[in-house]
Amino acid sequence: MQTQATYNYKVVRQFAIMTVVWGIVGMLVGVFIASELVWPQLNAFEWLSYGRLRPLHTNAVIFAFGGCALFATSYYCVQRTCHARLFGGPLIGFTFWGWQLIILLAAISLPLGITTGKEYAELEWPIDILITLVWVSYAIVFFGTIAVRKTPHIYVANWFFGAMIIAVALLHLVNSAEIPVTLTKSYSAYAGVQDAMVQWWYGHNAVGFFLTAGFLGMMYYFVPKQAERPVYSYRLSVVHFWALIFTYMWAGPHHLHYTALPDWTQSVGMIFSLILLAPSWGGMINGIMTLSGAWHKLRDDPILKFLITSLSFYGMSTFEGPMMSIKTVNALSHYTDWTVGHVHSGALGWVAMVSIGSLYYMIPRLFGQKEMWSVKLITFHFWLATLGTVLYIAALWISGVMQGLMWRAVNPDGTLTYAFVESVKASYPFWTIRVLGGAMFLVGMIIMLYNVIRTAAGNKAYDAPVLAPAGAH
Amino acid sequence: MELGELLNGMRSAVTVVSFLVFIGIVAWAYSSRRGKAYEEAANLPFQHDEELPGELDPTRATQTKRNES
Repeated sequence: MQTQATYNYKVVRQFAIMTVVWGIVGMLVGVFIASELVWPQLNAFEWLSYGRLRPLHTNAVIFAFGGCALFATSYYCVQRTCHARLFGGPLIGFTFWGWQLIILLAAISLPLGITTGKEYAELEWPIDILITLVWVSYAIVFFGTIAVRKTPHIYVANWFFGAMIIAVALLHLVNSAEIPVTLTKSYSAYAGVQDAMVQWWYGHNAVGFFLTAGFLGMMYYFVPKQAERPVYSYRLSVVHFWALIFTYMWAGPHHLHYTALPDWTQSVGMIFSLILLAPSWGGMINGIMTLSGAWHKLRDDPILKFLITSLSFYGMSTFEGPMMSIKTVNALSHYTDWTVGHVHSGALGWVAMVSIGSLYYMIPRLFGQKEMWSVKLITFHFWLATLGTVLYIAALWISGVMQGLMWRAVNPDGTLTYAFVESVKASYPFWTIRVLGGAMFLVGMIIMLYNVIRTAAGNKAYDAPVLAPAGAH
Repeated sequence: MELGELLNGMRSAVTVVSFLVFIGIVAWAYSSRRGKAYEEAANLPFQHDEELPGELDPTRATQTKRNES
């Protein structure tokens, strides 16, 4: 009656487990470099110095942890909502092994100081080419699966994942245009302020599409699944999608306020950043309101706690972001810890928590189980992650505003009130709290790994059968 | 100079056209004709979505509607 073909869960399992592993690695490097700020003696060797390890931290958490989470969840969601096994044959395995090779090359080249110097795009040209090959394969697998779908509609989560894939391809190709000089050194194809603008067009859209659109795809699939009810408003999700697509692309210049960039470009960036508040909050409301009528589930379901808390942090950081893009606010906040705190409220609070919630939903099902080995440990992880994030961002809000105020303070005779080093000295207590918050988040991830191992160890890998959608038989 | 003005004119036009397209999308998304299609689409994650071994029962109706829990 039914063909007993199964979904390709193998690649989902691979990416899901590596998400947890790379999460621990990336966050460990984060805690280490945060400690270097408090205890500078830790900068022992050049390849362990802050300047070398900071890009390793950002690449590991964004592209290794976040990237693997996106691959895992998008492959799971697209198969199940299209009622079709993943398309692409050997390309599927290539996306996994290729992506791991890229991460490995990053982990070797960045501590050695091999870098293009472009933030979030530090990897040198041979790795850039490999990224392009893997990403094109990803696009073929993802859109190929959509093309062979058995359902009339393309579920909204897949729209977000798809937009992420297309936009990241575009951003990577444009920003990584470079002239190779040797195997490990290249120069950007752009010069001067154009180079800066291209870089932050890339940088902000990496936030907008890699770290937002993709994780919203996760939200639109896993929040309804865990809450066991359809998304609050499908109409709103369509408008949310197109509003994000039309506005995100133009917000980049807010990273270059009061620089050589023309004033009008800065203003355009600021205005589009302010407009972005509307789609961001539309999406947040859509996710949170999916629980309307079932709020009680939030009380004892730690997975929903992760998912809904992630949306709260998303709402908070997408309010904070537009505010910080206002030139007069930016004059205070830019180059201070406030920016770093803002990024982490998005990265830990939103990106990591929505991924963790989705993984806790998905991983037991990849092993034929209804839930993780220990639900209590999920609850424990939730509190560690939430308190860790709050400690982290609150500490950096205070140190950030303090730094901004100290740097701009002037005496009546026009000289600066504080030397720079005085602001560094005043920041130490907050940097220590930051280490503590980050360490709590890291411990949560280690507990997660233990829970995942126990879930996987006792059970066989399970591949669910592909069933025809309703109405097709 | 001529070309620059033309390009700037086109840039402005693209902005205006994009805005109109977006307004069009909003009107389309909220038109009542789309209601049924959206309900079907919103239920996609729940349709014949047996995820666990032993859950396999093709007769099980999994269509879920909002506002009924």
